Amino acid sequence: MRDIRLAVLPVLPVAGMLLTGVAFAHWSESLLLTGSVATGELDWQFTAVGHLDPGPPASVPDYHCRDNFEGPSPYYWMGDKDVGYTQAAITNDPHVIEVILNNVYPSYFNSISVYFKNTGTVPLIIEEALIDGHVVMGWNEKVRLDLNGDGENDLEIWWKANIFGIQLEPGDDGPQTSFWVHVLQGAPRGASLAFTIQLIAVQYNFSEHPKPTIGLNPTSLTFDAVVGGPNPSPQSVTVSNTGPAGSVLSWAATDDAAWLSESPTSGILGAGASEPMTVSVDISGLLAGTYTATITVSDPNATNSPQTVSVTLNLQPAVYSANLHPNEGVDRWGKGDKDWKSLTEEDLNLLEASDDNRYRDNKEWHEKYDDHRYIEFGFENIPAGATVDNAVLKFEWQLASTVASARLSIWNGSSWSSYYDLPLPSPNTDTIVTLDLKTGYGIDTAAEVNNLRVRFQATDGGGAYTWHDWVEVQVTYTL
Amino acid sequence: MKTAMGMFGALILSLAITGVAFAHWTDTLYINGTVKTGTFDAELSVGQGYDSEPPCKDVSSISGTLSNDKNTITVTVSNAYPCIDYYLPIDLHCVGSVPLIIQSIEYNGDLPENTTLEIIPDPAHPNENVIRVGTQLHQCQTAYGLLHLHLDEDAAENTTYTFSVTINVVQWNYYQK
Repeated sequence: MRDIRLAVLPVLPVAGMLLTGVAFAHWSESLLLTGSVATGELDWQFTAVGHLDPGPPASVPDYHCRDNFEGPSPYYWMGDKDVGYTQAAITNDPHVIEVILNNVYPSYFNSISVYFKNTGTVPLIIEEALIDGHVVMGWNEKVRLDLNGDGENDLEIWWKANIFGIQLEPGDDGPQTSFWVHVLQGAPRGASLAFTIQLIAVQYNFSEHPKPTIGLNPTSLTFDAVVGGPNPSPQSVTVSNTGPAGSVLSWAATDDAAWLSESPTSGILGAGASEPMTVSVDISGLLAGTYTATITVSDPNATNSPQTVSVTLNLQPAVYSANLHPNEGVDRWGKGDKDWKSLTEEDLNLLEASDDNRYRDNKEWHEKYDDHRYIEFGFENIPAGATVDNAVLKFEWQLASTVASARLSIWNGSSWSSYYDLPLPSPNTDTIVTLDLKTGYGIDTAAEVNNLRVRFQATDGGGAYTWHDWVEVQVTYTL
Repeated sequence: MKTAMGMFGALILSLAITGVAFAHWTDTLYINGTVKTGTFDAELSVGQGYDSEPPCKDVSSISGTLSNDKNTITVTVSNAYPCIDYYLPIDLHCVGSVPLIIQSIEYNGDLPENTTLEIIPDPAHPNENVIRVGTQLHQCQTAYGLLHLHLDEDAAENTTYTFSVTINVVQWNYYQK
């Protein structure tokens, strides 16, 4: 019995510590950050290769050039023999192109183009090319190769592509990359000449290549045009690489307006080089107004990418002048159903010009104004969307000596104006009355012009006539 | 004998009477108590991750997802490559009623050599509490930090590395320097 109690005694402190431990656990806490880091991939591959002198069956005559690719132009030319040919192919390693010149001879020439793309997930920059292990780092750089190690150069190669320092985004194709090959006098006889091409690309932020800087001049353009008129003349923006020697600017331009376009939209420029980019505007379908847009020129590798050109298009409304002649009219001399006539084509022609060919009203005027006695003119139309700048009525007429008064009133499509009492000219003498229809009668919309009617009335103590030589509404409007 | 018995009874009676009188001049006092303990709790929150890639070269990213209990953040860094700094804002909140102190921060994982993994002060919260050992937070207070990751050239391409960061917080008066 005593032994059992002794055995229980050590258990009690342990149980106590466990309980205490539980209490501690409640009063502390661990917070956790768990992470995974998936790295990307830097990779590129050749995608195609081409050249001037394939072998059979597509063989062509051999090309030739001078030593050191000397000028003058042409720097190379096709000869009349077809004995040599070139094989160029991407090897099993897509980072290597092998070129084999077969049955070639001194002065044999070929231009070889290779194509590549960024097949990785990280932007890369082409740092250098390796031609059979020889480093080419510059545009226009020439290398000579002693392929068989006999101490004499067998080939010379002129690197013609300005690709070093160009950045390629993942999935992007690189520019066409060409180089010239020339067989020298030191080439071995009876041997095929083989060499390889490789490119060295680095992660963009590890490139030691000088970075280009985008230069744009000017940085703003203004185009002026008139609705319905011709497109404004294209303007030019000079794109330049103002970066240090050795830098290469691979620029691309985009814009944010359908009416704007650029040509070219991309280019490659060495340090200090520049080229024009033509900016054009197409105003078709645009309404009058001021439009703005932005051209963005970018190169992800440039120190100042992107740069922008602001473009403003001032599209002025087209201003039109129209002389609207009466195209219909009514001459009414009473309230009866037959007491009126429509003005005929012949009548209307008499009113078209101030030419002393006059329309005479059909019946004599009465002593008093009468709502059923008048001559009324309707006119040709202007475009429905036009904005009326000015509208003037020209009314040329003459009267007999007994005419006592005359007046005009204007219908704007919804109501008649108050009467305008015409000053009475000397009898049998033409007089021209000018009425400003816009300021005096509120005719300031296309609808009002197109519904315009002018009514003439007169009184005559002796029952005489009036003669009408010229009725015209002169309108200026914009679209 | 009767007299003696009477005197004894009288004595008993007087004592009884006196005893009653004594009972009127004593008292018993009680203290009844209730102990309500506080709460000790901390939570995390996570912000929008960012990195040092130029805007036109934004091919990689860092992001974080908070667990439902707000005690775990799952960090994901995608398409990472060397010499880019990845930042993820993380906040530590004292949501209990008892002040806490950050006792330790432990970093683990299989990240490549020369990788930087750290929690640094968040410049977006200057002059605020920082997630680092020794920081004390009272109820409703927050400490701010940036999880910073930087891979060196030792990182391999097309590889997934894992890591964990454990932030241990304790009741303020249990903090061990």
